[in-house]
Amino acid sequence: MNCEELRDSFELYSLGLLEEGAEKDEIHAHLERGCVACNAAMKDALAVQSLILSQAPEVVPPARLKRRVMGAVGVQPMGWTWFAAACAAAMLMLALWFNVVAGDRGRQLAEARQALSQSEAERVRLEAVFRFLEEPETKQVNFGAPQNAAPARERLRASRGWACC
Amino acid sequence: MKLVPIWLAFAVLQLAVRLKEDSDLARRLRDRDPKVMGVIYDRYGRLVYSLIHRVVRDTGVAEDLTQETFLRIWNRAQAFDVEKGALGPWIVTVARNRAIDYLRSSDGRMASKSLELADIEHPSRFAGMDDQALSLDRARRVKEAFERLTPNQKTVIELAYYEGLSQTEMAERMQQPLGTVKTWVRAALKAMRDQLGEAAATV
Repeated sequence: MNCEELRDSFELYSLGLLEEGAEKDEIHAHLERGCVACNAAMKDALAVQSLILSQAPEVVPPARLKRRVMGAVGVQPMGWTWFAAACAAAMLMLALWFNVVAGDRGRQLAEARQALSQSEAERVRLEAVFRFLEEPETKQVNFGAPQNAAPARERLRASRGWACC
Repeated sequence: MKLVPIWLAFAVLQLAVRLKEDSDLARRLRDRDPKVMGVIYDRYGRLVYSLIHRVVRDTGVAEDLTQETFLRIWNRAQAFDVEKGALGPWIVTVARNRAIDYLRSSDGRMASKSLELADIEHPSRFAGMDDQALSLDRARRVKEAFERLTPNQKTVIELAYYEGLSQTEMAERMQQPLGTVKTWVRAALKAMRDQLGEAAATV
């Protein structure tokens, strides 16, 4: 058989589906002896096969499959680059954590100081009030009630200002 | 077989334009750099898995056979001619053959056939593959040719490519005379070949 007669059988041959027989033996013989036309026909058939097979509906493989494949060819899953990246990530996390914690503490500290100073101010003011009240010259004044016309009934202590209850 | 959506056309385009880049990968394969398998997996992993899954219809088996495919690529890389990197077609063929072998072993069909598949998928068959073999134009023509087939012609193509049925087995499956099935197969393959022949003539 010549190459032209065999031309139609290369697809099936490339798929391993050519039945046992004269055609199959001939193709095998032509390929083995380096027949240019038949080798070209074989390559064409394999190219067509690839094109057809690549039209299979897409199914996404699980992520672990790449690790399996790489493991099978002997590539370490955790190279030094992974380790370095892990360290960098860990350091970043630590830095962020410290920043957050420090910021938190700072805020708490500021809040505490502010509360303290507020209560301190309040204490000072109350102390002043009590002192004012306890001093002998201080008299209680009722606004609106009939009073004798003694001047400056309400006690003003200029240095202390009003004590209003 | 579903009509080819945009992403598939793109995938085949990628297959074509990466022919040049494939030769670099082939070189790294020959130089036994295992990390190149990561690049190769990124490029072909999904296609291989999808194709095998289409054949075996089982995700677990598809995973195992995908791993086997890439391991085989790695182990036989030194026989691959790096001058013209037709890496894609080789990988796809190895993948399909693993899947067909599995089908055959699991249902007891003609185990001897696995020997001839090994011969077909030898890397030397893919060396020197015409750069134009996987052009986008050819891919489009194959797709169009397939779409123009009659339903029976489409069925026999699927049975051949995705299930590895011989024509005798097809006749049995389709409950048709062997002669009829052979006619469908011949017509389908001729139609697809003619489409590609036209492309070759105009190039």
